[in-house]
Amino acid sequence: MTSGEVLSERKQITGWVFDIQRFSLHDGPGIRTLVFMQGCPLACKWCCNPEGQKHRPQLRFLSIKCVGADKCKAPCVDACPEGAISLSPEGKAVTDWELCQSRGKCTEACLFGARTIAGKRMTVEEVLAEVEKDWSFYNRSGGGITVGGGEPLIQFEFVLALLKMCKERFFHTALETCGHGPWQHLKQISKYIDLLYYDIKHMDPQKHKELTGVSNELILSNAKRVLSGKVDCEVIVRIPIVPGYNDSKQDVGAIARFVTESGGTMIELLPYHALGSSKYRQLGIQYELREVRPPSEQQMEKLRNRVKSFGLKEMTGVF
Amino acid sequence: MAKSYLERIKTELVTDPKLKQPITERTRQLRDTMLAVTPKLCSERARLYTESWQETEGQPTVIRRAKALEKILGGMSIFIRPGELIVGNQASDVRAAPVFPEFNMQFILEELDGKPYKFEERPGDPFQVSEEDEKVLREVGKWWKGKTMAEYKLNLFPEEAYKAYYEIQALELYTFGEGGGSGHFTVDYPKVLNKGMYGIIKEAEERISDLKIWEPGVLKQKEFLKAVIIALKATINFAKRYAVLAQEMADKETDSKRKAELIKVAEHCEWVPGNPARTFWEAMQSLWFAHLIVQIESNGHSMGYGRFDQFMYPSYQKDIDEGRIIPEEVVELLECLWIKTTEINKVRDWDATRVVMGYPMFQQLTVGGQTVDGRSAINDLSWLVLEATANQKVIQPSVSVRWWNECPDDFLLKCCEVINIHRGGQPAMYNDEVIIPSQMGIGISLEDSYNCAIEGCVSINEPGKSRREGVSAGYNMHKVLELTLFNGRDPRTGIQLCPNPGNEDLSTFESFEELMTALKHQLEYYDRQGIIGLICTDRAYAEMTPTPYASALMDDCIQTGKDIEWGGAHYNTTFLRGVGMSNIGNSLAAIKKLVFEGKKLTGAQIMHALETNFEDMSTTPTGPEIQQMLLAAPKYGNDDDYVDLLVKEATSHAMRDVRRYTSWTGGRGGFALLPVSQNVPMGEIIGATPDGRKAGVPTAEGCSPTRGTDVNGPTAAVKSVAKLDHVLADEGTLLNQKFNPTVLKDISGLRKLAALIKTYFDLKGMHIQFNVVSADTLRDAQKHPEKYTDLMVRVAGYSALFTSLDPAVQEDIIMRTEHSI
Ligand code: SF4
Ligand code: SF4
Repeated sequence: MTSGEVLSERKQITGWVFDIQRFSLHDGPGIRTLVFMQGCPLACKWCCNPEGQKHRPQLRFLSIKCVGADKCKAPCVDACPEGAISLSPEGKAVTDWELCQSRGKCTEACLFGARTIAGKRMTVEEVLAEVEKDWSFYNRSGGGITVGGGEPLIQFEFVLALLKMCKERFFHTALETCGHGPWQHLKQISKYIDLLYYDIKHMDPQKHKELTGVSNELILSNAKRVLSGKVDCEVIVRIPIVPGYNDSKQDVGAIARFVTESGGTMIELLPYHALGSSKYRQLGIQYELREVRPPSEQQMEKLRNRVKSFGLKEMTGVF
Repeated sequence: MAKSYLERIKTELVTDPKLKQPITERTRQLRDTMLAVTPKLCSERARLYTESWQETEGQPTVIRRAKALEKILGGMSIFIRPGELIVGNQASDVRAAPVFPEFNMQFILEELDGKPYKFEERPGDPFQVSEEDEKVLREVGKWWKGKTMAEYKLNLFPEEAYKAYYEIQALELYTFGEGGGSGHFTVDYPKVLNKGMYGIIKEAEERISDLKIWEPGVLKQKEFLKAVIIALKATINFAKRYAVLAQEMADKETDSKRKAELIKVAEHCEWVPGNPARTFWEAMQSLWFAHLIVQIESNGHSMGYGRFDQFMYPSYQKDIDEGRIIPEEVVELLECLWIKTTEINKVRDWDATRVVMGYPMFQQLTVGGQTVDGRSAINDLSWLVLEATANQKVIQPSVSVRWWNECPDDFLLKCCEVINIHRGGQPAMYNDEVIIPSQMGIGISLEDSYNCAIEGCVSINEPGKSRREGVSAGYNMHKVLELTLFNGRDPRTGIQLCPNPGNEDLSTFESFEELMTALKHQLEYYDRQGIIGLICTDRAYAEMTPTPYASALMDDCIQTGKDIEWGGAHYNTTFLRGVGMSNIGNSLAAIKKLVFEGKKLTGAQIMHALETNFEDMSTTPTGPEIQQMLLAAPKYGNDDDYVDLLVKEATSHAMRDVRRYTSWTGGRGGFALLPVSQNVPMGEIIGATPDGRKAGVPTAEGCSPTRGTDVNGPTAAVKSVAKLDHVLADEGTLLNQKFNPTVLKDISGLRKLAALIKTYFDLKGMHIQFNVVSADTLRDAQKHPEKYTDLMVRVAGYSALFTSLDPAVQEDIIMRTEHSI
């Protein structure tokens, strides 16, 4: 194969992407574009991107946009091959989530944008075209691309190709991972990134499983390698602070101790927020954390000091 | 060693607005007492002007104007507020607005009668009127009936232009008031500082002695020069009145420090503006008198200071070198000038007020940029100007910064710091790499282009040399699009001034090209009507209200013996301010996509939907569905060439077309892509349009995207806007970006803002300004205005007090896309 063929093949790899956000300011230096990869091996109770958890498109129903049958004659009802849509007494669409297959026939029928599909199959080339749009802003700000999700490692081939091509364009590259994936993949991808955000949610395997659905052994063993200098990029450990779940000084202290002992230097605390909660309803799933409030500023200050007491650099980020 | 004050300003950035406060108790007091005032109307000028006008009947108009100014300056009340270091007042009280009966008295009489509101009861920008003032104003008003400039101007309008302006309202003069004076110039302040008024009087006298008055037209020159001398002498005498007052106050003053200050003030007023200023403080006093009288002579607006940090620098440097002043004292004096500048006020009729609310005067003050030989013009004074702006957080002057390719980052970051702290959109940022070529493009010399300053909302001029227009006309380009869709017939009034080629309308256009041709045809027609209206207005100024004082301070008036209103300025232009570009582009893109490419709808279906405001449920698709299909088409502001290039094509066509025309004063027709906030009333007279906008909704602002339709964030918005031909907009373009304060909570946020500005300028954007205030704060201020008396927002090209705005305008500001993370 010639190198030209390799390149064009690389560009044609496809992946599931559920969002691309320009002008992101909180996931790495400068002005950045965030690419959200769909699918995640974890299912954290507080996840603010639930539409990114499954590795396939998901129907999202935005009830506030539904104008109701007296304005649109409800074409969505007939469009649905599964018979999943009916009308409420007020004429608004109601989705039977048991029946819905998320194939999005209704999306085309509804002109009001009330029924959208989260998740799109895109080629590396298409994603790159979006990312390249802001190159002049990266240039001026030292920014670039951050790949997150979902969990980008799941779509290893795609992410590797995308980051390679971004590096060829001299963009600053960052990746956010939950660490639950094959070490070899992580190792290979790390060659093409400048900055790695590595999430650690809890040190206790049992608690971890309760909160995320998986145990933390793989995550911690990868973390050890990453933090002990087996990758060349800069590493920042991120801890989402979820009141009542992992916000005690002991919880955060345990992670900080682990990070220092493994050779890490930086921790970013992300205070919990509930901005993703409405998405659960739109996807027809239950949101368990309804009662949880964001941590107080005093609480965050305490945790920050705890982190610093281990000699680590702390930065408070945005969830 | 500890850092000096100046070093701290240059090297330490802060993000908490509370950390920048008035530099002394004096400037805090002066600021707070000023902001606490509800402005009044002052009848003094109206009475004195009228008396003078009655006395001088039969003399040449220009001389009568000078004598009227003389009478006002000699007879009006003067006062010095406690603690003031720079003195001189515009009317009988702080922030009181003088009345200019010669321009328009009709609205004063109507509003005294409560039509549509009494001055005190206006929903925005109220004025208190005392019984006494009311009595004087009513009397004066009676006398001026039929004699004002506003009435004369309307008599000059040809019928067609009248219909275009006042019936269809594709064009308007109401923004700046039907009887607004001529403005948009910056007089030659350095000349006053260096030569003094006596020096300029001498120049005029020498010129008179050279005149061959037996030659055609020369007698008129002599009259003008005599008027100049009267006006300048009156100015010197006005200052001397303050010298006497300050001395009297000093005699009575018991506090020795204040006494010494008053004696200094008296000395200054005795010496300037007649003579060249000897110190920085004196230069500030001289500058203030020179500027103040521009505001008393005529009731224009957009008379700015020009390149303040350049012409004030020599006296600053000299005083610093000779140990006469320290930077802290300079900042105190700057703050005093900022307060004085905010005290300037003006009463506009209600129609104008609701468009430019917040008592704006558009007194621009420019810093930074390049010197005429292309080197960085930033000096210590530029930094101190920014510091004073952050400390005072007042609406005037409008501080603007000229950025260029080699502008150091520390200075840009300082600008970002102040943008965040000021919270009222100051400083606004301008790109030298576009504004300089834009000036050269209309025939301004290289040297003068490098020396340009900002004036008005976001316009550009050459201080001491350019009269950009008497008043510009607002151009409702969105309305012109609507007319195009209906074969030139206005759906609201039924008037058809200019049919489309082939009498086509949206239901009969066979191709997209046909639609574009028709649009261009309509734009050309309304460009011309716009220029005709401006010619009528300029002619009325020339005949009724020459301004010998301002003219004395403008090149080449003394040399040519011509008032600026007669074309005496070195450069002249006139211009249209285009509004609604985004709506045009979005409408065109929707039609192109749905009718001519996708064949999803016919032109006739859309036309029917527009006529029924997207409410007809009997059609298939229904009205609301058609609206949604239109809304789903590509929208300007998302970095999508499909629509962005259509915005550009329509806009550039109009901008190029206007260049063919010559103004009454002999200058070139120019163009600006800026509204003030007339996008609200302009939207009210437009029916539903194919961008999915319902009837009556505001049009888009300046060249900013339609609110709520730029969904890809600020980088995409900025890229879309940068695609337009800014360099053709010799009078400026306006991009307003709204930021949530949380984005700027730390230094790295400021850096990102700086990067955004630089990239926009790399892409050849012209101007960008920011509103850094959260929607929550604005909503709270709507509910509790008393808690937010000093909350400012950047309305269009200017800062305004939020609580003084009309609720509809407040709502528009809150609704504008909030780019926040
Ligand atoms: S979902 Fe869409 S098509 Fe269905 S009823 Fe609501 S607005 Fe109409
Ligand atoms: S996504 Fe498919 S199955 Fe689900 S409601 Fe829409 S049309 Fe029916």
